[in-house]
Amino acid sequence: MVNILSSAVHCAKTLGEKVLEDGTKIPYFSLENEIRQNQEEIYNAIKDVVSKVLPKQTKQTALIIGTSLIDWHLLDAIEANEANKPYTSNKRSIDSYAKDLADEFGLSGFTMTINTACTSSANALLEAKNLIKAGIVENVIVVGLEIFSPVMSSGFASMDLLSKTKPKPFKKDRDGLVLGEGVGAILLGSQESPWELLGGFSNCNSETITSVSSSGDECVEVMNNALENCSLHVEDITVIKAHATGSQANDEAEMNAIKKVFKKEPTIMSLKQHIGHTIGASGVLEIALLMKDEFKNGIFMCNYFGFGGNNISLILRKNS
Amino acid sequence: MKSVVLNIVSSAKIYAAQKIENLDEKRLVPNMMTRRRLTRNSRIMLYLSDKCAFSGGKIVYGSCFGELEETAKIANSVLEGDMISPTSFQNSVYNTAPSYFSLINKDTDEIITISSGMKTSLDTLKTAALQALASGEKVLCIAIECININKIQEINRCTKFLEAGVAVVVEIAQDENEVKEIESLHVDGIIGSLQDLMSVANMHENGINKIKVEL
Repeated sequence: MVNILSSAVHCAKTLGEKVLEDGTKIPYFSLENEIRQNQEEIYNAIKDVVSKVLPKQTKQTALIIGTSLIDWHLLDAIEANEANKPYTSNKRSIDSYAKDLADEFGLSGFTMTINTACTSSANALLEAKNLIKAGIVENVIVVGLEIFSPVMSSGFASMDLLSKTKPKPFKKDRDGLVLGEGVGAILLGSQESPWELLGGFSNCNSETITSVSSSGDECVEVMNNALENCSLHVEDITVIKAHATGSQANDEAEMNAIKKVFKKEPTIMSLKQHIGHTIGASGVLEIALLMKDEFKNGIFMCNYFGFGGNNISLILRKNS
Repeated sequence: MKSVVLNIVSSAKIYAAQKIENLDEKRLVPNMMTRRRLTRNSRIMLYLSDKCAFSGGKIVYGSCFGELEETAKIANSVLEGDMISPTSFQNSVYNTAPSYFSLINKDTDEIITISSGMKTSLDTLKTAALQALASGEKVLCIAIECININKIQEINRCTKFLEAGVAVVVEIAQDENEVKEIESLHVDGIIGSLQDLMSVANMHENGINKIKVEL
């Protein structure tokens, strides 16, 4: 049995605005105390959430980070070249955070940084379950991290995927996704807890490199296999925490998939209207927020669908 | 810590100082439109997986620098205030190469993408071992770096080979007979993020078919 023992989150509370390099204004969920693209600030933000979920048995605890962030060494190097300046940098690389934190907190040597776009930290949670189930470690801390990136925001803008107003998941007048930043940590282990991570299923299946088909068949596969892996039936699911980005195509595909899997739809909820689409961090952040809600006992399916056809459904049970 | 004993089913490696020629793209990707969209990492992935006779199943893919060429194009556009190419953005995520593999081979199985600096290929191997252990299936473990971008010579201090990749197909071994610890059989001049998996591929070339991986 792998349980969710505790969580800590640091995410935006209100919708604000960002200005891109070309002057375009986009709605954006920024952290109150913005973490700039400053390596020490980012490291300290992760350290803060990790310290809040740290178990007693640190030597038997692994650390996995899920993020879609790229390496800022590259941006510095390119900027230096453009200005014909020599490039030097003592900055941390994204992947080094996990190892440095493991050293600082005296964790086990097992660290990993998973980058599978929007499903990064959701995949990290499934890998964490595998680690505990295989008896490799007793606990795993899974971190989800996403900080404002002009590269990513401009990229989504280039694909005309960003909303000009606010996130409206599953609404008829939805006009795109609103990005957000945040950092969160979840501690998994076999100790007692009302929340259990029953399991899930991850696949790589899409119509194009960025999207699933409007039929949602790729999402049907992942939801059905998640249920099968957890020995559950559709009627066992109490609530679906949908991926629900607010984009026309993705919401349509997900809703079509839900209709195909569930003859009688359970309660469907979305969280991106509160914190934005936090991309690689959304797996951890949205489950941490779900756990803070006053839900009665039940079984929850959490969907995440990402670029490259990376799709995952996780299933959680609350039994207080 | 737990150790896992893996059979090495197949292996392949490739590298070049500047650009790897003849990746057999026309045979591997007959559709011209799809072929034209492929990134360098994707082309090398398709080549190496074919050499390993792997056409579907679980994949653990590692890259320290990811899709550097596409990311550099986007970064330059941002810095110069130009329009970003949607194709570059689509192709810039770390999991682009295994995603193209999945699309082309109609493989819908799980993929995990790892980026762990100079330990990338070791962490990729560990994750593949974990995947093999959890699923009981064969897993393609592959790591690729393509850093052949404009002006790279001004910042490259870490490799003689701007394009390189290595792949092994592994499965859980049924016994520990003739198992070997991973030896350091590095290829001189290869980027550090690939060296651990290069060692495993070299061991396989030397006739070793069973290794122990410490998780």
